[in-house]
This record gives sequence, C-alpha cells and structure tokens, in this order.
Amino acid sequence: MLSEYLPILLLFVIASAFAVGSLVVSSLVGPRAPNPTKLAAYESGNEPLADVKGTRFSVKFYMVAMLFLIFDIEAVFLYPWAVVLRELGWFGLVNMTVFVLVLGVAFVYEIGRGGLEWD
Amino acid sequence: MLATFLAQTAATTPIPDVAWSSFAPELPPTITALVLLLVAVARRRQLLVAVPTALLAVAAGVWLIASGETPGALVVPGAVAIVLGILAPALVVATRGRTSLLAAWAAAASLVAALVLTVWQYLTVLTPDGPTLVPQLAMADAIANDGIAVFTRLVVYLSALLVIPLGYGYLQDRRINRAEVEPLLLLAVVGMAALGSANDLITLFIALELLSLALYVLAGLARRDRRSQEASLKYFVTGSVASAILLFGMALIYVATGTVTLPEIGAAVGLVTTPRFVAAIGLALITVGIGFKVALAPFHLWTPDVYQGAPTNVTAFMAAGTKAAGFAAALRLYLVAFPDLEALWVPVLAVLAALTMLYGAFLAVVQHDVKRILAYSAISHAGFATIGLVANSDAGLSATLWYLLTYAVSTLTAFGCVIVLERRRRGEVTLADLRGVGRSAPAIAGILAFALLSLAGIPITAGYVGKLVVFEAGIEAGFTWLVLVGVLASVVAAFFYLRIAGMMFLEDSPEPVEGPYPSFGLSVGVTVSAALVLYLGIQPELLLRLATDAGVLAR
Amino acid sequence: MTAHDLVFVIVGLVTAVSAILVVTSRHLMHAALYLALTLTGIGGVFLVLGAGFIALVQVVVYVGAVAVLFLFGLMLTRAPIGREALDSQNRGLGLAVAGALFVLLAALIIPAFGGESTAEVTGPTIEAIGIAIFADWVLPFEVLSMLLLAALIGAILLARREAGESGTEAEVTRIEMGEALADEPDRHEAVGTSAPAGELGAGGGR
Repeated sequence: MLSEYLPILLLFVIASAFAVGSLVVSSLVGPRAPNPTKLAAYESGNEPLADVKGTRFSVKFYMVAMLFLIFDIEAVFLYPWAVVLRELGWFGLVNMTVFVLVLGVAFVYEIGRGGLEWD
Repeated sequence: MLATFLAQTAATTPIPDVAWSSFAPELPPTITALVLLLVAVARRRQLLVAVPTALLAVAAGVWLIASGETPGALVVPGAVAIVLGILAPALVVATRGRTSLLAAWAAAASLVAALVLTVWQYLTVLTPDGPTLVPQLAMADAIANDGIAVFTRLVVYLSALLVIPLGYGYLQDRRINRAEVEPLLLLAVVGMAALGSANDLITLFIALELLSLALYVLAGLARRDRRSQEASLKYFVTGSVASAILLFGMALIYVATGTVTLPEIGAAVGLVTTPRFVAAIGLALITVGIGFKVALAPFHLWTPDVYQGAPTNVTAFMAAGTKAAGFAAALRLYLVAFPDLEALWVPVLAVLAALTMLYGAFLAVVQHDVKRILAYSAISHAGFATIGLVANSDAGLSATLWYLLTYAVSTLTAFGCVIVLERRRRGEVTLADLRGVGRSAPAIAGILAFALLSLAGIPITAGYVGKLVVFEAGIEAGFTWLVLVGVLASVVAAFFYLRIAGMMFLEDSPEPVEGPYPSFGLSVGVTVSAALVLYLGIQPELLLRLATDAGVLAR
Repeated sequence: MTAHDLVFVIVGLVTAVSAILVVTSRHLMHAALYLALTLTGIGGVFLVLGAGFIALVQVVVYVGAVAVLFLFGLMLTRAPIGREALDSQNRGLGLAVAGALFVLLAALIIPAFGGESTAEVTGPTIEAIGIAIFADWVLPFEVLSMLLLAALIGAILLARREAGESGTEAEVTRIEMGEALADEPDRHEAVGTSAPAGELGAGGGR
C-alpha cells in the first residue's frame, strides 16, 4: 500500500538529485577566477549594515503565524469533507457551511480589528 | 448542478438524526456571540448587522411555530427566536451606539433565552409523560440529555446571567470593557453547557477546551495589569498541561476499550478481554486532568494566583461556572464510564476530597487578600462537592449537583460584594481594608457577611442545605470518616469567614472611608444573587426536587 | 524483513536521531529546525502505518504552522540565537524522566495489543475519517469552529495594542471611579482600522 506514495518519493529523489547535482557539476566544471568585484553582493543586493545576529523580528510576524495556524486547521478539515461530500449530500454541505460561516465571522472580526494590517 | 451532485447521496451513509431540541438552549448564546463580534467591528453601521439578524431570527421563529409535528409543539422556541430577533435592532437603537451596553443587554437576553429553552426542554422533551425524567441520547450518542445536563445548564446559564450585571460597571472602571468580553463569556458558557451533556470523550474534550480557552483570554483581559497577565499565563500553561494529560488518559482508555462513547466504555471496562492495567492508568491520568480543572488538591496550585489576578467578575464566573461544568463532566465520566473500576477511583477520590477540604480551609486562614481567601474557599468547596461523587450513588449525584448550585449562588454573591468594595477602595481589597465597613456601608457588609455564612454552611442559607445534602449522601454511602473531615474543615472555614464578618462589624476603620458606590448593575446582580442564596436556604424544595430527579443518568 | 519494514526502520531512525538532536543541539535555531525534521519524520511514521490523512495533517499543521511559529517565537524574543550555554545542568534528571516515560509507555501499549504482531497495516481510509467527522461527530466538529473562533479572539485581543494604550504595565490594580465614564466615548469605537497599532513589548522591527 505504500507503493501509492512511490511517485512522491521519486519526485523527492529527483528534486534533491537535481539540486545537489547542479551545485556539484557547476563547481566541478565552471571556471574559477574570483576577484573582489565578483564576490560582491549580486545585482541590487546591499552589503549588510550590521550583524544580523541578535536583531529580532517584529511580533507582527508571530500574530500572522498564529492566525495562519487557526485557518490552517480549518483548511485541514476540508480534505476529508471533499472526499465524503458525495456520500453525505446536503447534510455534509450544511455541516461545512456552518463551520465555515463561524470561521467567516472570525475572519470578518479579524479584518475589522485590523489583524491583517501591518501598521 | 450542485443539487444533482448532492442528491446522489448513497443510501448506506449513516446520517445522524439532528435532534435540534437536544442542543436548543446552546443556540441563542452561540448565535449572539457571533453577532456581537460582528457588531463590535461594525462601528457606526451596527444596524447593518442587527437588521438581517433580526429578519433571519424572526423567519426562523415563524418557521418553527408553523412546522411543529403537532400544532404548537415548537411555540416556545419559535417565540424565543422571534423575541430575540425583535430585540436585536431595538437594542441597537436603544443603546445609541454604546457597544458595551448593547453587548451586555444582548448577552443577558440570550442567556435568558437559553434558560427558557432549558426549562422548555426539560418540561416537554425530557419529561414527555409525568414527572419522571426520560434521558435521551442525541446526535449519534455524542450528547446525553439527562439530569446532569439540564441541571448544569441551569447553573452555568444562571451564573453567567448574574455575572454580566456584576461585571459591567467594574470592567468600565478598570478600562477593560472590551467588546470581546461578552462573546467570550457566551462561548465559555456554551462550552460549559456542552461539557455538561457530553457523552463521549471527543465531545467532552472539545467542550472543555472551548471553555478553558475562553477563560484563559478573559483572565488576561487587563493587559496592563501584571497580576492579570500572570493569572492568564499561569492558567494557560497549567491548564494546557492538564489538557494534555487528560487527552493522554483518554487515548489510553480508547486503546483499552476501543470506543470513545462513555456508556460503551462502561460496558467494555468490565470485560475480561479489556487490559485492566491500561484502563487503570488511563483512569489515573483522566483523574489528574479533571482534578486540575476543578482544582482538587494536590492539583490546585494554579487556583489562588489565577483567582486573585483575574478581573473579579471573571473570577466569580470561573468559580461558579467552571466548577459546575467540571464536576458535571467528572460525574458522568466516573459514574457512566468507570463503574467497574470503582475499587480504584472511589478511595483515591475520597482521599483527594479530604485533602482538598482541609488544605483549602487551613490555608485560607493565613491569607490577607480577600479574593485569595475566596480562592482557597473555592478549593475547599471542590472537596465538599467531591463527597457526593465519592458516594457513587444516585443520591450522591444529586447531592453534588445541588451543592454546586448552592456554591455558585453563594460565591457569586461574595464576589459581587468584593467588586463593590474594590470600587470603593479603588484597588484590591485586603482583610485590613474591611475594618469598619459594617458601619460605613452596612448593606454591602451585611450581604457579604450573609454570603460568607452561606459559604460556611450556617442554617437559613443555601450553603447549609448544600452541605447537609452532601453529608447525608456521604454517610449513606458509608464514608463517615470523610464526612467528619468535612465537618472539621467546615469548622475551620467558619472561623475565617466569621473573622471577616467580625472585621467588618466589630472593628473601626483607622481612616475615614467614603461610602460604597454600587452601580445599578452591581446592585441588581448582588441583590438577586443574595436573594437566591436566601431562597435556596429557606425554600429549597423546588430545586432540590429537580436535583433529585436529575439523579437519572443516560447510561 | 519486507521493503515496508525497511522504510519504517529508516523513517523511524531519522525521526529518533533528529529528536535526540533537538535536545542535544547547542544552537537554538538548529534545535528548532531539528524539531521540524522530527515532526516531519513523525508524519512519515504515520504514512508508513497507513494513516495517510494523519500524515498530511502532521505535515500541514505541525511542520507548516507550529514549527514556523516556534521559529518566529525564537526570532522575536530575546532568546539567544547562536551557540550559547543552553544547558540547564539537568541532563541526568531529564534522561531519567524520559527513560521512565518510555518504559511506562512501552509497558502500557505493548500489552494493550495483547502481544500480537500486526502483520497487515491497515490505517483508516480518508473516507472513514470523513464519515466519522461529518456524520458521527458533527456536534463536536461544529463546536470546534467555536473553539478556533475563541482562539482567534484571544490572539487578537492579547497581542494587539489598542489606540492610546501605553506600553507600561501597572504593578497594582487601579480601579477608577465610573461615574464620569458614562459621558466618555465608548472604548470600542477607539479600536479599529484608523488606530495606530503598535506592537507589543519593546524591540521588534529594525
């Protein structure tokens, strides 16, 4: 029964082989003649002004992550629902409608309270 | 196209029968909570939310009245829906954009509706012929409507209804009257009511989490008050650990019995094929988890800090409501799911009850903060309520339910008086601050003393009848030693309750104090709850009979 | 040993090793990333045991959201990012507790299945889970939406600063008299899109 997931495994293997392979091949084959200009930050990149270590993220990221977690859990329930909707018919549709409506209120509340605004 | 797709329902799918009446009382608070959240963010456009709500509610009410199988069967729920629907825009207009006032009135109205529907459910659905209660299982056995469910609904809805007027002015004074208070309170109440009727482990756990989560937030409502933040964090961390332990115990019970429905667990636990060791460990973990939630010693350590730090109205609600709901869940769990393991849990709970009663009573004596004293008193009372559970009989079940009601009204009265005194002191109230209150504010001092007498269990108060019934059940079940411990704890407790009363009436205040400032809501709330304490103390027959009838379990 | 067993052993080893690295790693950020790997590994174990949906939930919720929450939590607090002395000198005690827990769990779970070795792994199908959630446990499912709603209210209520709120905390409870308050504009009105929303606590941003 695990063979169902074989294509996914294959995809993983190919993807990582491609990533590792490209790096290895380019380092083996590519010419190397470093000079300071070549090693500088690429294109529009800037040299970092200060050490990144020790600076902290804004708490807003955390808010967004928490809100994401809540709606993530909501989304998880949609998978089994989609599978059995044909079996459950109207009953299933009404179920999920109520669930989504309650979280819809949550969403409206979140917007109204400025939960999605950055500043 | 959608309709044709949905019409293809396979005939084999077991779609449960949605018995609306089984959770009808929970619907008004739930819907009100959602509408209030929308109103809170609607700002000047509140009517835009209220009018559609009203139309939907009135339509639902008319449909309910018209659709009953026999004419008039659903008149009460229909009428409730119509009244609430009309109230929605009326309140918006009457409160003129003062959202917190609107929220308080709407929440109170929905709780009254919930109480009306509970009584309707009891009278028509659960007692179809004659006074005997016929327990009903509904929603694929997820909920059981029996005595515990009805009584718990009454207690928690009543507590929440009393807490709203008690807290309204207080929250304003502390500048924490956020629009989210009432929705969270209503969600917590729905969780408590659902906990009282949960008949399987999944429903039980989700209901418990709903009420806990709402209370974690409410405890931390005063965001600029370090005590409140501490209370919220402590409650959250210890509560989450307790939930995890409880969930682990439930998982082990499922491993042992292969089912999550309580009556089926009860049937499976006795079988020889069930690994008793696994079931016993599961039971132990569940006991720890429930012990945390209802604050039994030695799992009570969070209680004093949380009760002291949380806003006083939230504390009152936690003490009255959470205890009732938690014990309802405990009663159903132990009496329905684990009757075959009684040799294990009865002695353990008896010891815990004795420990809790004594610990709460003795530690209350050395406290100085009034809220903290009441917190230790709450711990002690959890021990008394456990006596009925330990008795492991129908009489014990009724006794615990009844005790929780008497404790709820007594503690609400006491905390209401504390709120009045906090307003007067403009800050927290310590024991020393109570000196001379009896002279400067005799009414409030008198009511507080009365509530304390009820908590101590002195005759003509509700608390006396509560203790009497619980002790009776304990002695009948052969737990004379436990009852003796209870009497000892009562005596110790009476000492500090009387000390507070003595402080208020016999000692003089060192500095002149202003008179109390009870707001309108506070006066109403305190008066009504004090009247209930007196009523239940003098005329307990009606509700006591209900509690006795409630000793019928859906097994 | 079948191919199935082999996969199980590999996934289990990866999970166990990364779990050990979570607690032994001296670099806090690395520990968090190892935690993400452990959670993914547990998802793999679920998959091997035939519980495809649970594996999906594990990856979507735990790796996708909870682990990220951990990382954000590390990055926005004063938690030391980098190699620093994190050892609380309680290794022995921790080992003893973990060992005791392992023995207890093993002693509980192995006899619960009567010592029989389940050769055929048949996890619940996603249809069975769907029917269980949407037919048998509809009511808890709907209550769950309210649970999530309460969680969301809590997140917004506790983490967002209101307009006009100072960042300082009061040590004592102050209750101001309410008589004058009736004329004050309603506090709910002050909150909303127009309010300048600061962030909680000092620091943050650059």
